[in-house]
Amino acid sequence: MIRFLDGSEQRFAGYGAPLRSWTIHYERLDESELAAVESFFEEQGGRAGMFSFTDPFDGTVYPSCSFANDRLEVEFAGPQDGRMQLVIRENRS
Amino acid sequence: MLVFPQLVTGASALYPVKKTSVQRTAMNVMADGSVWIFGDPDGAAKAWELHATGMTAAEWNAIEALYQATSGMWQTFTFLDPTGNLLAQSENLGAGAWTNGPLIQLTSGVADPLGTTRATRITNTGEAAASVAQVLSVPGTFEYCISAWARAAGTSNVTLTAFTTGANLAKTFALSGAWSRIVLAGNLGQSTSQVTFGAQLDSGATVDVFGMQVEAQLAPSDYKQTNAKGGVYSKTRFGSDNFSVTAQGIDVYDAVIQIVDTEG
Repeated sequence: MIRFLDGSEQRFAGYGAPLRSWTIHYERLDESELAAVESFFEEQGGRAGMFSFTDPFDGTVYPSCSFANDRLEVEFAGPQDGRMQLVIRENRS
Repeated sequence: MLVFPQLVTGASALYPVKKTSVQRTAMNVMADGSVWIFGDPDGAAKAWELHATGMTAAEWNAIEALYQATSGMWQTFTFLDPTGNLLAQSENLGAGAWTNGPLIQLTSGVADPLGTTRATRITNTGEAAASVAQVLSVPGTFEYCISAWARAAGTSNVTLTAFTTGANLAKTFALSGAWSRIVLAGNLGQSTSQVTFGAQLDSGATVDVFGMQVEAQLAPSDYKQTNAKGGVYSKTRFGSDNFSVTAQGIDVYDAVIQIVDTEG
């Protein structure tokens, strides 16, 4: 974005397409499901890995996505009551 | 061997338990907006937050004694992940983590009870009983539970075993063609620092096995698949040099305990 002295602006698109991200809240997962996500997160090395992700809204498969954080916190709140939150972002290919 | 203690009931922890996995990465943002991120597996860490509510004085004293022995965050101790499977390579029974009998044959890719093909067919081709077993560096004084799904095409049996110097536990299960989850639980009651857990087959037996799991508790929980690392953490530390406990009444203590693992 360039702003001129008269207050007007000129803007240019920096990228060809917008990138998506998803914030996913999980509740009532069993321990197997929590462990599977945790294991996958560690295999990916946090933000370093890339994987395909299916948009739960429309089923579109995004072939290059990553975790947005290097930290994953899971809570075993009770039997069959595992909770966690993931943020997944689409990578620019 | 310094070990984080079990509760007197044999449970390894109380709900809720929070577990955090932290990875270390280096990120470069390039001039064109592209991003390069590199992982650093050696920088990974784990942390647990245990909400120990309603502990007895004996349970609290055991934790405090460990805290004194480690001088807070200074020294390390062994921690058995209360949310994990203590076995490593739980679905790769031919991996180096396992010490199998020499005439045990393994066939992977067998249909399992979860609808995938992650089970293993185990055949004992020897003239004597033989095991698929794993040695864990865990105390012989804890309650343990070993579990697995098993089935047999014919009339084969399988025996779940746990042994350490001076004691052993074993239970034999007659299998059918349908999957069943078999469980052996108990306390070896020996002051040792290694326990071997396994599944033993008679000579000539063929058994399909899936989801082998060992937990430091009285009964099995949901199966957790493991890879190179199981749930035994031998170099954990307390996460703080400050420790608070609240006495809610006679023999009723509450504390929140932070444990970290940065050295694998």
